[in-house]
Amino acid sequence: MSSVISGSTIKTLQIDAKNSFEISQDGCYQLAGTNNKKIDIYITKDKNVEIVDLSIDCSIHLHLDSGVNLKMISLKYKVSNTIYEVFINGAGVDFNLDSISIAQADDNIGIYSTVHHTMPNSQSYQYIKCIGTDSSTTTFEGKVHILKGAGGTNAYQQNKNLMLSDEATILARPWLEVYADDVKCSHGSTTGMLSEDEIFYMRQRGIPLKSAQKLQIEGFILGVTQKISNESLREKISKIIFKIIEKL
Amino acid sequence: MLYINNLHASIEEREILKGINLTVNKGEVHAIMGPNGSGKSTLASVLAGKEKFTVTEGTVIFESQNLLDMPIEKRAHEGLFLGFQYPVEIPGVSMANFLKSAINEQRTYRGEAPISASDFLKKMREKSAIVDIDPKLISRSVNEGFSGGEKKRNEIFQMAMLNPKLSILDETDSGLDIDALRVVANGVTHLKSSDNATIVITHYQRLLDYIVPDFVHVLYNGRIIRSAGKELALELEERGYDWLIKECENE
Ligand SMILES: Nc1ncnc2c1ncn2[C@@H]1O[C@H](COP(=O)(O)OP(=O)(O)O)[C@@H](O)[C@H]1O
Ligand SMILES: [Mg+2]
Repeated sequence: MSSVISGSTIKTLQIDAKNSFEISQDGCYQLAGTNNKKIDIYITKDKNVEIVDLSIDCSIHLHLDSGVNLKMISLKYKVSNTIYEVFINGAGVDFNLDSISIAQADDNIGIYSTVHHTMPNSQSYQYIKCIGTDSSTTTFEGKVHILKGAGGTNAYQQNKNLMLSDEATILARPWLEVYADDVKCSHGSTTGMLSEDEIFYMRQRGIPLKSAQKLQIEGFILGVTQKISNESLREKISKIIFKIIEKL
Repeated sequence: MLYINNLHASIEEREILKGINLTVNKGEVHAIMGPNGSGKSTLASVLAGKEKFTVTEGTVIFESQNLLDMPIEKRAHEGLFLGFQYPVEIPGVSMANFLKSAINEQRTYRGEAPISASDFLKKMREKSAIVDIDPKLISRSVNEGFSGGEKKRNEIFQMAMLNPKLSILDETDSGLDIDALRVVANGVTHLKSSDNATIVITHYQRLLDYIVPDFVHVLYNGRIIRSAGKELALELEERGYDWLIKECENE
Protein backbone atom coordinates (compact mmCIF):
# COMPACT_ATOMS: atom_id res chain seq x y z
CA MET A 1 0.00 0.00 0.00
CA SER A 2 1.34 3.42 -0.87
CA SER A 3 1.67 6.07 1.77
CA VAL A 4 -0.31 8.60 -0.20
CA ILE A 5 -3.82 7.41 -0.66
CA SER A 6 -5.89 9.39 -3.04
CA GLY A 7 -7.47 9.33 -6.46
CA SER A 8 -9.53 6.80 -8.25
CA THR A 9 -7.30 3.79 -7.69
CA ILE A 10 -8.54 3.16 -4.19
CA LYS A 11 -11.33 0.76 -3.87
CA THR A 12 -10.44 -0.89 -0.66
CA LEU A 13 -8.42 0.60 2.09
CA GLN A 14 -7.44 -2.07 4.48
CA ILE A 15 -5.67 -1.03 7.60
CA ASP A 16 -4.45 -3.15 10.44
CA ALA A 17 -1.90 -2.78 13.17
CA LYS A 18 0.88 -4.18 11.01
CA ASN A 19 0.69 -1.86 8.06
CA SER A 20 -1.14 1.09 9.46
CA PHE A 21 1.98 3.25 9.78
CA GLU A 22 0.91 5.53 6.97
CA ILE A 23 -2.25 6.31 8.80
CA SER A 24 -0.61 6.93 12.14
CA GLN A 25 1.97 9.23 10.65
CA ASP A 26 -0.39 11.33 8.59
CA GLY A 27 -3.25 10.95 10.94
CA CYS A 28 -5.50 11.66 8.03
CA TYR A 29 -6.95 10.28 4.86
CA GLN A 30 -8.92 11.95 2.20
CA LEU A 31 -10.99 9.65 0.09
CA ALA A 32 -12.30 11.22 -3.04
CA GLY A 33 -12.57 10.86 -6.75
CA THR A 34 -13.41 7.21 -6.67
CA ASN A 35 -16.25 7.58 -9.07
CA ASN A 36 -18.69 6.97 -6.28
CA LYS A 37 -17.52 3.41 -5.86
CA LYS A 38 -17.88 2.06 -2.39
CA ILE A 39 -14.84 1.98 -0.16
CA ASP A 40 -14.14 -0.67 2.44
CA ILE A 41 -11.96 0.27 5.35
CA TYR A 42 -10.66 -2.19 7.94
CA ILE A 43 -9.02 -0.99 11.10
CA THR A 44 -7.52 -3.01 13.94
CA LYS A 45 -5.68 -1.83 17.06
CA ASP A 46 -5.25 1.72 15.89
CA LYS A 47 -7.16 4.66 17.28
CA ASN A 48 -5.37 7.42 15.41
CA VAL A 49 -7.29 7.29 12.22
CA GLU A 50 -9.09 10.23 10.78
CA ILE A 51 -11.03 9.93 7.59
CA VAL A 52 -12.40 12.89 5.75
CA ASP A 53 -14.94 11.69 3.30
CA LEU A 54 -16.39 13.94 0.66
CA SER A 55 -19.56 11.91 0.33
CA ILE A 56 -18.27 8.62 -0.99
CA ASP A 57 -20.09 5.51 0.18
CA CYS A 58 -18.08 3.48 2.61
CA SER A 59 -18.12 0.55 4.93
CA ILE A 60 -15.91 0.79 7.95
CA HIS A 61 -15.03 -2.36 9.83
CA LEU A 62 -13.66 -1.67 13.26
CA HIS A 63 -11.93 -4.50 15.07
CA LEU A 64 -10.44 -4.89 18.53
CA ASP A 65 -9.26 -1.65 20.16
CA SER A 66 -9.56 0.45 17.06
CA GLY A 67 -11.10 3.80 16.48
CA VAL A 68 -11.85 6.26 13.76
CA ASN A 69 -12.82 9.88 13.50
CA LEU A 70 -14.94 10.13 10.42
CA LYS A 71 -15.84 13.48 8.92
CA MET A 72 -18.53 13.37 6.28
CA ILE A 73 -18.76 16.46 4.15
CA SER A 74 -21.59 16.64 1.64
CA LEU A 75 -21.52 19.76 -0.49
CA LYS A 76 -22.50 20.91 -3.94
CA TYR A 77 -23.91 17.74 -5.30
CA LYS A 78 -27.03 18.03 -7.40
CA VAL A 79 -28.33 14.65 -6.46
CA SER A 80 -26.35 12.48 -4.16
CA ASN A 81 -26.89 9.74 -1.69
CA THR A 82 -24.14 8.86 0.69
CA ILE A 83 -24.46 5.51 2.33
CA TYR A 84 -22.16 4.46 5.04
CA GLU A 85 -22.21 1.49 7.27
CA VAL A 86 -20.03 0.96 10.30
CA PHE A 87 -19.46 -2.47 11.78
CA ILE A 88 -18.13 -2.46 15.28
CA ASN A 89 -16.76 -5.96 15.35
CA GLY A 90 -14.44 -5.74 18.32
CA ALA A 91 -14.44 -4.64 21.92
CA GLY A 92 -13.01 -1.29 23.01
CA VAL A 93 -13.81 0.49 19.76
CA ASP A 94 -14.36 4.25 19.50
CA PHE A 95 -16.31 5.50 16.55
CA ASN A 96 -16.76 9.24 16.15
CA LEU A 97 -18.65 10.85 13.34
CA ASP A 98 -19.07 14.51 12.48
CA SER A 99 -21.10 15.18 9.43
CA ILE A 100 -22.15 18.35 7.66
CA SER A 101 -24.24 18.70 4.54
CA ILE A 102 -25.37 21.78 2.69
CA ALA A 103 -28.12 21.40 0.12
CA GLN A 104 -28.69 24.30 -2.26
CA ALA A 105 -30.95 25.20 -5.20
CA ASP A 106 -32.92 22.05 -6.00
CA ASP A 107 -30.30 19.63 -4.68
CA ASN A 108 -31.48 16.35 -3.34
CA ILE A 109 -29.05 15.06 -0.76
CA GLY A 110 -29.41 11.83 1.16
CA ILE A 111 -27.30 10.62 4.04
CA TYR A 112 -27.95 7.08 5.15
CA SER A 113 -25.97 5.64 8.00
CA THR A 114 -26.03 2.46 9.99
CA VAL A 115 -23.82 1.67 12.92
CA HIS A 116 -23.82 -1.97 13.99
CA HIS A 117 -22.57 -2.72 17.46
CA THR A 118 -21.86 -6.43 17.43
CA MET A 119 -19.32 -6.66 20.26
CA PRO A 120 -19.38 -5.38 23.85
CA ASN A 121 -17.92 -2.29 25.48
CA SER A 122 -17.57 -0.02 22.48
CA GLN A 123 -18.70 3.51 21.87
CA SER A 124 -20.16 5.44 18.99
CA TYR A 125 -20.71 9.19 18.98
CA GLN A 126 -22.38 10.70 15.97
CA TYR A 127 -23.11 14.35 15.24
CA ILE A 128 -24.96 15.00 12.02
CA LYS A 129 -25.71 18.52 10.87
CA CYS A 130 -27.70 19.40 7.79
CA ILE A 131 -28.37 22.77 6.21
CA GLY A 132 -31.20 23.20 3.73
CA THR A 133 -31.49 26.28 1.51
CA ASP A 134 -33.65 27.30 -1.46
CA SER A 135 -35.95 24.46 -2.51
CA SER A 136 -33.53 21.66 -1.69
CA THR A 137 -34.33 18.38 -0.05
CA THR A 138 -32.17 16.61 2.51
CA THR A 139 -32.88 13.18 3.89
CA PHE A 140 -31.02 11.83 6.86
CA GLU A 141 -31.58 8.31 8.03
CA GLY A 142 -29.42 7.17 10.87
CA LYS A 143 -29.76 3.76 12.35
CA VAL A 144 -27.98 2.52 15.42
CA HIS A 145 -28.19 -1.22 15.69
CA ILE A 146 -27.08 -2.87 18.91
CA LEU A 147 -26.99 -6.63 18.68
CA LYS A 148 -27.36 -9.19 21.40
CA GLY A 149 -23.98 -9.62 23.03
CA ALA A 150 -23.04 -5.96 22.60
CA GLY A 151 -23.59 -5.18 26.28
CA GLY A 152 -21.77 -2.19 27.75
CA THR A 153 -22.24 -0.28 24.53
CA ASN A 154 -22.41 3.48 24.66
CA ALA A 155 -24.15 4.91 21.60
CA TYR A 156 -25.02 8.53 21.06
CA GLN A 157 -26.46 10.19 18.02
CA GLN A 158 -27.38 13.82 17.63
CA ASN A 159 -28.88 15.37 14.52
CA LYS A 160 -29.26 19.13 14.13
CA ASN A 161 -30.79 20.74 11.10
CA LEU A 162 -30.82 24.33 9.99
CA MET A 163 -33.45 25.50 7.51
CA LEU A 164 -32.57 28.67 5.66
CA SER A 165 -35.64 28.77 3.47
CA ASP A 166 -39.32 28.03 3.83
CA GLU A 167 -39.19 25.92 0.70
CA ALA A 168 -36.38 23.65 1.84
CA THR A 169 -37.22 20.21 3.15
CA ILE A 170 -35.27 18.23 5.69
CA LEU A 171 -36.43 14.74 6.53
CA ALA A 172 -34.75 13.24 9.55
CA ARG A 173 -35.20 9.68 10.71
CA PRO A 174 -32.99 8.74 13.62
CA TRP A 175 -33.60 5.19 14.53
CA LEU A 176 -32.50 2.92 17.32
CA GLU A 177 -32.68 -0.85 17.47
CA VAL A 178 -31.45 -2.42 20.66
CA TYR A 179 -31.26 -6.14 21.38
CA ALA A 180 -28.77 -6.05 24.25
CA ASP A 181 -29.11 -5.24 27.93
CA ASP A 182 -26.92 -2.90 29.89
CA VAL A 183 -26.37 -0.36 27.13
CA LYS A 184 -26.46 3.44 27.13
CA CYS A 185 -28.11 4.91 24.09
CA SER A 186 -29.59 8.23 23.26
CA HIS A 187 -30.47 10.06 20.15
CA GLY A 188 -32.12 13.33 19.28
CA SER A 189 -33.06 15.38 16.29
CA THR A 190 -33.87 19.08 16.13
CA THR A 191 -34.69 21.29 13.19
CA GLY A 192 -34.71 25.05 13.42
CA MET A 193 -34.32 28.30 11.57
CA LEU A 194 -31.76 30.98 12.36
CA SER A 195 -32.44 32.32 15.83
CA GLU A 196 -34.11 35.75 15.82
CA ASP A 197 -32.87 36.46 19.31
CA GLU A 198 -29.26 35.77 18.34
CA ILE A 199 -29.59 37.96 15.26
CA PHE A 200 -31.13 40.76 17.30
CA TYR A 201 -28.26 40.52 19.77
CA MET A 202 -25.65 40.79 17.02
CA ARG A 203 -27.44 43.64 15.24
CA GLN A 204 -27.72 45.50 18.54
CA ARG A 205 -23.94 45.49 18.64
CA GLY A 206 -23.81 46.93 15.13
CA ILE A 207 -23.46 43.83 12.97
CA PRO A 208 -25.78 44.16 9.94
CA LEU A 209 -28.48 41.58 9.33
CA LYS A 210 -26.71 39.77 6.47
CA SER A 211 -23.42 39.47 8.35
CA ALA A 212 -25.20 38.34 11.49
CA GLN A 213 -26.90 35.57 9.53
CA LYS A 214 -23.58 34.50 8.04
CA LEU A 215 -21.89 34.43 11.43
CA GLN A 216 -24.67 32.21 12.71
CA ILE A 217 -24.43 29.81 9.78
CA GLU A 218 -20.65 29.66 10.13
CA GLY A 219 -21.14 28.96 13.80
CA PHE A 220 -23.40 26.04 13.00
CA ILE A 221 -20.79 24.50 10.71
CA LEU A 222 -17.63 25.42 12.56
CA GLY A 223 -18.04 22.71 15.15
CA VAL A 224 -17.58 20.15 12.39
CA THR A 225 -14.84 21.73 10.28
CA GLN A 226 -12.74 22.73 13.27
CA LYS A 227 -12.56 19.14 14.40
CA ILE A 228 -10.65 18.13 11.27
CA SER A 229 -7.17 17.68 12.68
CA ASN A 230 -5.29 17.74 9.39
CA GLU A 231 -4.60 21.42 8.91
CA SER A 232 -4.42 21.68 5.14
CA LEU A 233 -7.57 19.67 4.70
CA ARG A 234 -9.33 21.68 7.36
CA GLU A 235 -8.43 24.90 5.60
CA LYS A 236 -9.37 23.59 2.20
CA ILE A 237 -12.81 22.45 3.31
CA SER A 238 -13.45 25.57 5.38
CA LYS A 239 -12.66 27.65 2.31
CA ILE A 240 -15.13 25.75 0.17
CA ILE A 241 -17.79 26.12 2.85
CA PHE A 242 -17.19 29.85 3.33
CA LYS A 243 -17.55 30.32 -0.40
CA ILE A 244 -20.92 28.62 -0.25
CA ILE A 245 -22.02 30.72 2.71
CA GLU A 246 -20.93 33.91 0.94
CA LYS A 247 -23.38 33.10 -1.83
CA LEU A 248 -26.35 32.20 0.38
CA MET B 1 -29.45 63.33 23.68
CA LEU B 2 -32.65 61.28 23.95
CA TYR B 3 -36.19 62.62 23.81
CA ILE B 4 -39.00 60.14 24.22
CA ASN B 5 -42.38 61.69 23.60
CA ASN B 6 -45.69 59.93 24.26
CA LEU B 7 -44.34 56.52 23.26
CA HIS B 8 -46.90 53.75 22.87
CA ALA B 9 -45.96 50.20 21.89
CA SER B 10 -47.76 46.88 21.65
CA ILE B 11 -47.08 43.25 21.12
CA GLU B 12 -49.69 41.02 19.53
CA GLU B 13 -52.33 43.77 19.79
CA ARG B 14 -51.67 44.18 23.51
CA GLU B 15 -50.52 47.64 24.52
CA ILE B 16 -47.52 47.46 26.85
CA LEU B 17 -46.16 51.01 26.73
CA LYS B 18 -48.92 53.54 27.22
CA GLY B 19 -47.38 56.95 26.71
CA ILE B 20 -43.79 57.21 27.93
CA ASN B 21 -42.14 60.62 28.23
CA LEU B 22 -38.48 60.83 29.11
CA THR B 23 -35.60 63.15 28.38
CA VAL B 24 -31.99 62.12 28.91
CA ASN B 25 -29.13 64.59 28.55
CA LYS B 26 -25.41 64.02 28.14
CA GLY B 27 -23.60 63.24 31.35
CA GLU B 28 -26.73 62.00 33.15
CA VAL B 29 -27.51 58.70 34.80
CA HIS B 30 -31.20 57.74 34.95
CA ALA B 31 -32.59 54.83 36.90
CA ILE B 32 -35.83 53.23 35.82
CA MET B 33 -37.46 51.16 38.52
CA GLY B 34 -40.80 49.46 38.86
CA PRO B 35 -42.42 46.13 39.65
CA ASN B 36 -42.06 43.12 37.37
CA GLY B 37 -44.14 43.29 34.23
CA SER B 38 -44.30 47.12 34.18
CA GLY B 39 -42.75 47.38 30.73
CA LYS B 40 -39.13 48.23 31.59
CA SER B 41 -37.60 45.62 29.30
CA THR B 42 -40.15 46.47 26.64
CA LEU B 43 -39.04 50.09 26.70
CA ALA B 44 -35.42 49.01 26.33
CA SER B 45 -36.28 46.63 23.47
CA VAL B 46 -38.33 49.24 21.63
CA LEU B 47 -35.47 51.74 21.85
CA ALA B 48 -33.06 49.12 20.52
CA GLY B 49 -35.48 48.31 17.68
CA LYS B 50 -36.76 44.85 18.47
CA GLU B 51 -39.18 44.07 15.67
CA LYS B 52 -41.61 42.02 17.76
CA PHE B 53 -42.94 45.26 19.24
CA THR B 54 -45.00 47.72 17.22
CA VAL B 55 -44.81 51.39 18.00
CA THR B 56 -48.35 52.72 17.65
CA GLU B 57 -47.82 56.33 18.71
CA GLY B 58 -45.15 58.80 19.74
CA THR B 59 -41.65 59.81 18.74
CA VAL B 60 -38.10 59.17 19.88
CA ILE B 61 -35.32 61.57 18.94
CA PHE B 62 -31.76 60.36 19.54
CA GLU B 63 -28.88 62.70 18.80
CA SER B 64 -31.17 64.88 16.65
CA GLN B 65 -32.38 61.97 14.52
CA ASN B 66 -35.58 60.00 14.42
CA LEU B 67 -34.57 56.81 16.21
CA LEU B 68 -37.66 54.81 15.31
CA ASP B 69 -36.88 55.05 11.58
CA MET B 70 -33.47 53.43 11.95
CA PRO B 71 -32.69 49.74 11.53
CA ILE B 72 -31.35 48.00 14.61
CA GLU B 73 -27.69 48.08 13.57
CA LYS B 74 -27.83 51.76 12.68
CA ARG B 75 -29.07 52.59 16.17
CA ALA B 76 -26.00 50.78 17.47
CA HIS B 77 -23.74 52.65 15.05
CA GLU B 78 -25.22 55.92 16.29
CA GLY B 79 -24.13 54.94 19.79
CA LEU B 80 -27.04 53.15 21.44
CA PHE B 81 -26.12 50.13 23.51
CA LEU B 82 -28.45 47.69 25.25
CA GLY B 83 -27.17 45.54 28.06
CA PHE B 84 -29.59 42.64 27.89
CA GLN B 85 -31.52 41.33 30.86
CA TYR B 86 -31.08 37.87 29.35
CA PRO B 87 -27.98 37.83 27.12
CA VAL B 88 -28.31 35.11 24.46
CA GLU B 89 -25.79 32.39 23.76
CA ILE B 90 -24.48 32.26 20.21
CA PRO B 91 -22.88 28.84 19.73
CA GLY B 92 -20.04 28.69 17.22
CA VAL B 93 -19.49 32.45 17.09
CA SER B 94 -16.36 33.35 19.02
CA MET B 95 -16.33 36.41 21.26
CA ALA B 96 -13.33 37.74 19.37
CA ASN B 97 -14.91 37.34 15.96
CA PHE B 98 -18.17 38.81 17.19
CA LEU B 99 -16.61 41.85 18.86
CA LYS B 100 -14.23 42.52 16.02
CA SER B 101 -17.11 42.46 13.53
CA ALA B 102 -19.13 44.78 15.74
CA ILE B 103 -16.28 47.24 16.25
CA ASN B 104 -15.34 47.28 12.60
CA GLU B 105 -18.92 47.80 11.45
CA GLN B 106 -19.18 50.76 13.80
CA ARG B 107 -15.85 52.15 12.60
CA THR B 108 -16.83 51.77 8.96
CA TYR B 109 -20.04 53.65 9.71
CA ARG B 110 -17.99 56.51 11.13
CA GLY B 111 -15.64 56.44 8.15
CA GLU B 112 -12.73 54.99 10.09
CA ALA B 113 -10.37 52.21 9.01
CA PRO B 114 -10.81 48.74 10.54
CA ILE B 115 -9.02 48.18 13.85
CA SER B 116 -5.63 46.45 13.57
CA ALA B 117 -5.20 43.01 15.09
CA SER B 118 -2.77 44.29 17.70
CA ASP B 119 -4.91 47.28 18.69
CA PHE B 120 -7.86 44.95 19.00
CA LEU B 121 -5.99 42.60 21.32
CA LYS B 122 -4.73 45.49 23.36
CA LYS B 123 -8.22 46.87 23.70
CA MET B 124 -9.57 43.45 24.70
CA ARG B 125 -6.96 43.15 27.44
CA GLU B 126 -7.50 46.66 28.70
CA LYS B 127 -11.30 46.46 28.82
CA SER B 128 -11.52 42.95 30.21
CA ALA B 129 -9.50 44.16 33.19
CA ILE B 130 -12.12 46.82 33.95
CA VAL B 131 -14.85 44.25 34.51
CA ASP B 132 -12.47 41.61 35.78
CA ILE B 133 -13.70 39.08 33.24
CA ASP B 134 -11.79 35.82 32.89
CA PRO B 135 -9.74 36.05 29.66
CA LYS B 136 -10.60 32.41 29.03
CA LEU B 137 -14.22 33.39 28.52
CA ILE B 138 -13.20 35.68 25.70
CA SER B 139 -11.81 32.77 23.74
CA ARG B 140 -15.16 30.98 23.87
CA SER B 141 -18.36 31.34 21.87
CA VAL B 142 -20.50 34.35 22.79
CA ASN B 143 -22.03 33.69 26.22
CA GLU B 144 -21.99 29.94 25.63
CA GLY B 145 -21.83 28.11 28.93
CA PHE B 146 -21.26 31.38 30.84
CA SER B 147 -22.77 31.58 34.30
CA GLY B 148 -25.44 34.21 34.96
CA GLY B 149 -22.90 36.56 36.50
CA GLU B 150 -20.37 36.02 33.71
CA LYS B 151 -23.00 36.94 31.14
CA LYS B 152 -23.69 40.19 32.93
CA ARG B 153 -20.00 41.06 33.16
CA ASN B 154 -19.72 40.26 29.51
CA GLU B 155 -22.41 42.83 28.73
CA ILE B 156 -20.40 45.51 30.52
CA PHE B 157 -17.23 44.29 28.81
CA GLN B 158 -18.89 44.71 25.42
CA MET B 159 -20.10 48.13 26.45
CA ALA B 160 -16.52 49.06 27.31
CA MET B 161 -15.28 47.75 23.96
CA LEU B 162 -17.91 49.67 21.98
CA ASN B 163 -17.88 52.89 23.99
CA PRO B 164 -21.49 53.90 23.30
CA LYS B 165 -23.10 57.31 23.76
CA LEU B 166 -26.18 55.94 25.46
CA SER B 167 -26.16 52.69 27.42
CA ILE B 168 -29.37 51.10 28.57
CA LEU B 169 -28.59 48.43 31.14
CA ASP B 170 -31.52 46.14 31.73
CA GLU B 171 -31.31 44.53 35.17
CA THR B 172 -27.58 44.05 34.85
CA ASP B 173 -27.61 43.67 38.63
CA SER B 174 -30.05 40.77 38.93
CA GLY B 175 -28.43 37.48 39.78
CA LEU B 176 -25.17 39.09 40.87
CA ASP B 177 -23.58 38.66 44.26
CA ILE B 178 -22.24 41.75 46.00
CA ASP B 179 -18.70 41.38 44.64
CA ALA B 180 -19.86 41.00 41.07
CA LEU B 181 -22.28 43.85 41.56
CA ARG B 182 -19.46 46.10 42.69
CA VAL B 183 -17.35 45.11 39.70
CA VAL B 184 -20.15 45.82 37.27
CA ALA B 185 -20.98 49.11 38.94
CA ASN B 186 -17.31 50.13 38.91
CA GLY B 187 -17.21 49.32 35.22
CA VAL B 188 -20.18 51.56 34.56
CA THR B 189 -18.78 54.38 36.67
CA HIS B 190 -15.40 54.03 34.99
CA LEU B 191 -16.95 54.47 31.56
CA LYS B 192 -19.10 57.42 32.53
CA SER B 193 -18.20 60.76 30.99
CA SER B 194 -19.75 64.13 30.32
CA ASP B 195 -20.38 63.00 26.74
CA ASN B 196 -22.36 59.87 27.38
CA ALA B 197 -25.43 58.88 29.34
CA THR B 198 -26.70 55.76 31.06
CA ILE B 199 -30.15 54.40 31.76
CA VAL B 200 -30.04 51.78 34.49
CA ILE B 201 -33.07 49.54 34.75
CA THR B 202 -33.34 47.80 38.08
CA HIS B 203 -35.83 46.88 40.69
CA TYR B 204 -33.42 46.95 43.56
CA GLN B 205 -32.04 49.99 45.28
CA ARG B 206 -28.88 47.92 45.86
CA LEU B 207 -27.22 48.79 42.56
CA LEU B 208 -27.91 52.48 43.09
CA ASP B 209 -25.60 52.48 46.10
CA TYR B 210 -22.81 52.03 43.57
CA ILE B 211 -24.16 53.77 40.48
CA VAL B 212 -25.59 56.99 41.79
CA PRO B 213 -28.41 58.21 39.53
CA ASP B 214 -29.29 61.81 38.80
CA PHE B 215 -32.93 60.84 38.29
CA VAL B 216 -35.11 57.96 39.37
CA HIS B 217 -38.26 57.09 37.43
CA VAL B 218 -40.90 54.60 38.38
CA LEU B 219 -42.50 52.73 35.52
CA TYR B 220 -45.81 51.09 36.23
CA ASN B 221 -48.30 49.60 33.83
CA GLY B 222 -46.65 51.17 30.80
CA ARG B 223 -46.36 54.68 32.19
CA ILE B 224 -43.82 56.64 34.21
CA ILE B 225 -45.82 57.41 37.34
CA ARG B 226 -43.15 59.29 39.27
CA SER B 227 -39.81 60.95 38.55
CA ALA B 228 -37.57 62.37 41.25
CA GLY B 229 -33.98 62.50 42.48
CA LYS B 230 -31.98 59.63 43.94
CA GLU B 231 -33.81 59.86 47.27
CA LEU B 232 -36.85 58.26 45.61
CA ALA B 233 -34.94 54.99 45.30
CA LEU B 234 -34.33 54.94 49.05
CA GLU B 235 -37.96 55.63 49.76
CA LEU B 236 -38.98 52.78 47.45
CA GLU B 237 -36.55 50.48 49.19
CA GLU B 238 -38.20 51.27 52.52
CA ARG B 239 -41.83 51.44 51.51
CA GLY B 240 -42.15 49.32 48.34
CA TYR B 241 -44.18 50.40 45.32
CA ASP B 242 -47.71 49.97 46.58
CA TRP B 243 -48.13 53.40 48.17
CA LEU B 244 -46.95 55.06 44.98
CA ILE B 245 -49.26 52.98 42.83
CA LYS B 246 -52.19 53.83 45.12
CA GLU B 247 -51.35 57.52 45.09
CA CYS B 248 -51.21 57.44 41.35
CA GLU B 249 -54.51 55.61 41.03
CA ASN B 250 -56.22 58.16 43.29
CA GLU B 251 -55.09 61.02 41.09
N1 LIG C 1 -42.51 38.73 23.86
C1 LIG C 1 -43.61 39.03 24.55
N2 LIG C 1 -44.80 38.50 24.20
C2 LIG C 1 -45.93 38.79 24.90
N3 LIG C 1 -45.96 39.60 25.97
C3 LIG C 1 -44.81 40.15 26.35
C4 LIG C 1 -43.57 39.90 25.68
N4 LIG C 1 -42.59 40.59 26.30
C5 LIG C 1 -43.19 41.22 27.32
N5 LIG C 1 -44.51 40.97 27.36
C6 LIG C 1 -45.46 41.48 28.35
O1 LIG C 1 -45.27 42.86 28.51
C7 LIG C 1 -45.39 43.24 29.86
C8 LIG C 1 -44.14 43.98 30.28
O2 LIG C 1 -43.04 43.08 30.29
P1 LIG C 1 -41.55 43.57 30.50
O3 LIG C 1 -41.31 44.74 29.61
O4 LIG C 1 -40.67 42.42 30.35
O5 LIG C 1 -41.62 44.06 32.01
P2 LIG C 1 -40.45 44.35 33.06
O6 LIG C 1 -39.17 44.35 32.32
O7 LIG C 1 -40.80 45.67 33.63
O8 LIG C 1 -40.52 43.27 34.08
C9 LIG C 1 -45.63 41.98 30.66
O9 LIG C 1 -47.01 41.88 30.94
C10 LIG C 1 -45.20 40.87 29.72
O10 LIG C 1 -45.98 39.73 29.92
MG1 LIG D 1 -37.45 43.16 32.54
